[in-house]
Amino acid sequence: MQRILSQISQHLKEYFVFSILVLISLILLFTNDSPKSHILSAVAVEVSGISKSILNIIPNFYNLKSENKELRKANIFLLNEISQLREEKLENIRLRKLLGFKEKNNNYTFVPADVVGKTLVSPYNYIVLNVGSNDGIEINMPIICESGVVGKIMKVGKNYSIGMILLHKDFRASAKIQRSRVDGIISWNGDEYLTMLNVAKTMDVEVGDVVITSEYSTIFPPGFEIGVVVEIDNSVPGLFKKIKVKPSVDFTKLEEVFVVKYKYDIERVEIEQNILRK
Amino acid sequence: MIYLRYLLVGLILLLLHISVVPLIAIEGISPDLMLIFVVYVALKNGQITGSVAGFITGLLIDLTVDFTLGLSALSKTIAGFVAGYFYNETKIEINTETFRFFSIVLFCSLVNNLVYLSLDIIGRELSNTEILKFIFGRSVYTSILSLIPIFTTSRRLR
Repeated sequence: MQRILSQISQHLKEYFVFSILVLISLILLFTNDSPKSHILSAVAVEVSGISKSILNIIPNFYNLKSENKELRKANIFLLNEISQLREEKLENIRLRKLLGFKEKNNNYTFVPADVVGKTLVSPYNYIVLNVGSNDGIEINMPIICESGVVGKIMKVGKNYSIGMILLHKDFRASAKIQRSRVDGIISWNGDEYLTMLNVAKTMDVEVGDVVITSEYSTIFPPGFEIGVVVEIDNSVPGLFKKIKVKPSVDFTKLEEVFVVKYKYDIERVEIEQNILRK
Repeated sequence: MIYLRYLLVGLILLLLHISVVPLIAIEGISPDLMLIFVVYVALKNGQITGSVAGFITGLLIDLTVDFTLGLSALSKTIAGFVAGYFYNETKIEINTETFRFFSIVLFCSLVNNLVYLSLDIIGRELSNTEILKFIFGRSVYTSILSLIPIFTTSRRLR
């Protein structure tokens, strides 16, 4: 190899002249329009293709860097898309459940609403819904979801409303044990579970019984699930049991609800109030 | 002055190449008079002159015989350059006036024909038999013809 290199360096002039002449010959051959020149062009294209494919095997680190950057961008974009799709899938599942629930209870008018805000840490918890008086929402309308009773409308704006949920110290609702038809009042005193009041110690209530809304309620339509009895204490002083009810609705995951356009019978309320006054 | 002489001889040989050589073709194979001239010039004057002589000669053949501009110029340039490898100031006479000239012409003719037919080989324009016949046949015929200047110019043989 060294010998060849020294030979070339010694006869640089000769090689230079030779290269120039060969180059001129090739240029003449390429610029020609004879069939042989076409063969040469085809060969040149073939050689160029082969050399490029060989060069492509050698990794171009600069390109790799920029390609990596682009792939990362694409990866982030796709991850975001996957996350959105997953979110939409879950929403779809929830909405299907809601739809099934709505079809099952088609004797009421439901107004679908999204929970756009909520508080679960105060004694007076509430949710904010993106429906208001423009959607026909009024105070005291029940709020429910596919799992059961959520609460009732407390305040109404034009496009938003605030709902008092079961976990609110002022919340009260007439309820009954679904199995034994024992009546009571559901309330919340700030702990983990709801409390069912006014159930006599002699009444038939068992752990696992489902608590539903009662016909006595002037706000909630009857038959909607409130929760499940998880604890019964007969040892408390007085005539009544202490019943703990676990709400059917998981308020931490609540996202979509229905406001029920349920109008109670005003005549009935008036009669009841008159009796109470006497 | 010497180069002018080469030019005149080259032009005369080109005329012969065009007019006489086709008449002495055997089985379609004709000798390459111009190559003998290129090798001679290269052995007398070195690689650069050989290459330039090859290029000019080839170009003239391209213009008058082949009509594929550049092909003979390329093959003859390479042949002249290769012949220039045998140039030795102290052995000019031995190289040009003995049978050594015959063998150098044979070798350079093989190189010239190989380059000249390379496109036909790549493009599969000719069959293998035709290619071999052309390369070797023409080389042998050309080298045989190169014996004429050896006999006419050699003082050693006389």
